[in-house]
Amino acid sequence: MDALGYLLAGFQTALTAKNLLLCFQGCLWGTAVGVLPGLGPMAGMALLLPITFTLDPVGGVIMLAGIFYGAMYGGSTTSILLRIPGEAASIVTCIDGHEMARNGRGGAALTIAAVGSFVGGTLSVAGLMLFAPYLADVMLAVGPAAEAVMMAVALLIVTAVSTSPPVKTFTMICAGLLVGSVGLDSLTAKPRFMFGNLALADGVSFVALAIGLFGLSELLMNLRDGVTERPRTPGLRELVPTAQEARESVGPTLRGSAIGFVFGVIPGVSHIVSTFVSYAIEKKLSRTPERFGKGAVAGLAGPETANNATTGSAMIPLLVLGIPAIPSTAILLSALQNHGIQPGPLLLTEHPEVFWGLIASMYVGNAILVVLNLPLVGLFVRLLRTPMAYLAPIVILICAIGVYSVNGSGFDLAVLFVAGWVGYLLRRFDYDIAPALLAIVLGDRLEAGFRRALTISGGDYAIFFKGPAVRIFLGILVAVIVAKLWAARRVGRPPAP
Amino acid sequence: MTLRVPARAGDFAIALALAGLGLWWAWLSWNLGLGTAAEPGPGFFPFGVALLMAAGAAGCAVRALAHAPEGEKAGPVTIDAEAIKAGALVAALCLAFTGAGFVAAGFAFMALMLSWVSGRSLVRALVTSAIVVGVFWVLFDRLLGIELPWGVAGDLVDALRGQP
Repeated sequence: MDALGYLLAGFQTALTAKNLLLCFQGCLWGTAVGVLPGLGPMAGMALLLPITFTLDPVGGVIMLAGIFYGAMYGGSTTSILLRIPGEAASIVTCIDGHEMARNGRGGAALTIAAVGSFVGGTLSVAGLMLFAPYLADVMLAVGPAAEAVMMAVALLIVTAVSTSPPVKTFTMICAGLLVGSVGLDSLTAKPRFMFGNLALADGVSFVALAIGLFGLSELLMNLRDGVTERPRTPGLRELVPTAQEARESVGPTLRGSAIGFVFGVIPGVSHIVSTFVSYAIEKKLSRTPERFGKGAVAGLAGPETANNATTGSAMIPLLVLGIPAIPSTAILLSALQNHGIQPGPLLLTEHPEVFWGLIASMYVGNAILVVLNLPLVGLFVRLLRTPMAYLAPIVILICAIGVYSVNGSGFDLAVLFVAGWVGYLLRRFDYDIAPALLAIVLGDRLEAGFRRALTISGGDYAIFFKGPAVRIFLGILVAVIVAKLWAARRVGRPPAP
Repeated sequence: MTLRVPARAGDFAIALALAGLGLWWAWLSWNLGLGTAAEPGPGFFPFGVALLMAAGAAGCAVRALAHAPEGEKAGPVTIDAEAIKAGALVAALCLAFTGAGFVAAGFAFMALMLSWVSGRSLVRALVTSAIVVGVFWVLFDRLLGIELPWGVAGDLVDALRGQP
């Protein structure tokens, strides 16, 4: 069967009533958590992760992917109407999106953001569909040494591009690798760091860690925050942009798609970086750069498109290499692993229904989001008015139920509490905890590849510097570090929201 | 009740704690057996990572001493009273969830979060908690089939019914 045949089969899977409903639920939940300040895609996906364990692999991943791009999408609503970024990638949207709303063009801004998100998301999925199979063929030839180097390079790239100081991110990655080593050793089956607790035989519960580190710590951070400004809900007529606004958004939307796609493949904070890069490029290309910051359509359309275009390309390293490029896709990786599916080059041949079903569902999901976001903007604005005093305990109860539902274990609840507090304290002191979660997910494969490669080479560490694949990965690392240094010199500080 | 921790001192203390954790983990890994480079044992990889973590954390400690925080980060790091209270209630919820059961633990947690942490009236807190816990029990236990623990509340109901 060729790619087109697989894609058609994927659409048959994605368009079944059950998967369509799951995709819709994921998009709805994702948009809701994207709208709510303090609950980003990571927390939203972590909260619903246990529920996906009861679904079949395709259905579970379709639902989680829906939350992922739904949250990316939903963040724009609060950014435009309230100047509150629902999640980090929407910070740039605040600048010109909110200015448009203040100028009475809030409805048009929402439509431009929605259409840009749809175009960016759809084009990046097309790119994923075209590039992933070829990359998978290349990756099949990679041995354990190159695999270990690839994992290490991915984690080092995260260190290089993190918003926290690199030394802090590096420490967090090491901490994540150590937490990931708890449990029975995958090669010798010897218990490690379990202290006689059999509940740790399979390692520390990833669900409890993810929900604690992101969901619970996020809620503790935001307990005092509340929405003071009451946003006005734009009417349906106000949602239609003028002809000039539509014309001005075409170029930035297409450029944002390309920028988002390229940055989405790079591990780290790609979706955030892509929005800043897109904004800087649009301002540079504009004939009227003085309008930026005062409601320029290009300043909204470009970054918002780039933000959503990363969702498709971020799936390439996840599905083809088994490496989550951004923390949200680490949750997807965990969901697949829980179903006994290891993402990597063999995914396309061993589980084509998962790969192509997911791709088809992303096309469907992007369409659902456009239909969902614009008419229901009033509903999401009302949701935004929910006081944190009520929202926080309700979400914490859902966290506890979610963690308990996986193993029925009180110990996992203790992990949830400890992870929540540790996450809260570390974040208060400027430690980025997302890389730790990536390290927990990748640690097992990194260690297995490292030890196997050393055994094959008879203890010769030079094996980690030999072969074309290793050199390519090291070259990518050098290129990212050089690009980061270059960008820091050229762009300077990112624009203030 | 809000804690104000000087940014530099707090940063240094956390870095020291992480360095200590790294060294302790290295010691645990050493005891697991390192093996040789040609035949790495179960402690080989975590031993190296733990040492790297200790080194990284030491770097964080040096950084905390050498770099004075600027701008917004220059002031003390505040740990809000709300967060401390909510953290304590989450601990109680996690401890009581299986023993006291979801209904009792969830109701008490929700009511205390609303009244003690957020300052809502007791009546409003009790009514809201009863509604939320009831809705969640129906949604998760009955409809989604997640078996939530009954704990002592279940024992009480059984005792009232006269069942063992």
